[in-house]
Amino acid sequence: MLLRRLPTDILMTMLLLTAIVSSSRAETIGSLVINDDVEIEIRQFGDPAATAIIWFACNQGEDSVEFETARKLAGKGYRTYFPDMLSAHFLSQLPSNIARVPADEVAAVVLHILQHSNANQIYLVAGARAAVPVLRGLADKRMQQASARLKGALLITPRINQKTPEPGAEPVYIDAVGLSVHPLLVLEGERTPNRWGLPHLSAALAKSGSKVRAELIQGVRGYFYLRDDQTDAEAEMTRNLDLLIHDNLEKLGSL
Amino acid sequence: MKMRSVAGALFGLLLLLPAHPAGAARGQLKVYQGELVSPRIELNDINGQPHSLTDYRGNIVLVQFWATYCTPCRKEMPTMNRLIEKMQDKAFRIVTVNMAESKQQVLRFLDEVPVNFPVLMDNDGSTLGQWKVFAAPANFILDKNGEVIFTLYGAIEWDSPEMVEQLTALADR
Repeated sequence: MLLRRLPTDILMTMLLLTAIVSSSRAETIGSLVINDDVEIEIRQFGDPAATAIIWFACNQGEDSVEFETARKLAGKGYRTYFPDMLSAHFLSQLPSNIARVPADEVAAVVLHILQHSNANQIYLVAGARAAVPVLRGLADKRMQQASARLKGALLITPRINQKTPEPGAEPVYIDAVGLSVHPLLVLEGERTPNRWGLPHLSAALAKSGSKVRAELIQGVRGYFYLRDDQTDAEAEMTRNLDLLIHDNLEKLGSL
Repeated sequence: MKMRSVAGALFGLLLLLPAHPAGAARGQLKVYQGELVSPRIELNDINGQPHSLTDYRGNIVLVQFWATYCTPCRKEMPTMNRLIEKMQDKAFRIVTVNMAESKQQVLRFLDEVPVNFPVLMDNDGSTLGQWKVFAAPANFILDKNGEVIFTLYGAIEWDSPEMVEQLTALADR
């Protein structure tokens, strides 16, 4: 209900607290207040760098794979931002909740970071259902006119269907699919039926001009790094998630 | 306090109700309204023997697309074994198609979950593409002329009395 009551025309009012908590020199927390009543905490990993990542994740605990990966990426010269879109609405960190985040708040966060970061290239990263708000954000007109430094989005095993595809029927996606103009790189697990929908998904994503590339991650199932029942191959790929992201951001940058 | 007791009792009652009461759509055959017309299968089974769907004409056929990484598939296959036993005197067959996994992966799975119906190998995924399969398990019920009449996504107990009755009615028609 709170999400629905929020006005769509959101104004960024101020940036608060640039460095409150620091578990290492390069880890800081800031917060962005939108429209006077929505405060979004933004965690930063890594020193200011030429390449920045804005990672929309529903899993942001201290020991989360995402934070651990961001620490490794910091060592490779990336600065990673984690906007906590859920806590702002008192929502628990669940995949089902991340899809409820308003698109205009995603756009506000990205535009704010674009404005305040000196990075030459900025990428969005999202996995599983977090791809929903990212695609909705990219469909926002302000985002489509955003700086050319926004190089696109890396979608890791995105789950953006309206519902599970019925046998014998094409998948049906959320409305924002096909409304973006930025480059998109989709990574899908080799061991998931969703891989067979990649050509269909790529065509749908490209409808408004996005350049789209789709690739398989060998030996893993969907949202492998979020699973409790990881296989050895999935655990290994999770440990190397930083390399996977690094390699694929380079591909995304060249689209 | 009294309100809280009433609320607690109602909540407890809700917990006792079945998660999917009779009549719910979940786990039921769904009338197919898609675009597949006389879909074909021309594949070899795990032993290298060729199979054509036309060989099954005159039977009601359950065609299932599955994968070894699909946990529900693993759970429901024993119920399919029992279904084929219960329907052995009927014009009913089961054909399953593995979703482009290696022979080694499939054999390892079948070692753990033996089956008594054909397992066809869609090595390049072209057949599942033609059938528009994007989830597993994906089930199709074909009439005696090879046309898709029902579909069902997800795992069920195929040998439940209700399902056996429904499939028997189709086979006897």
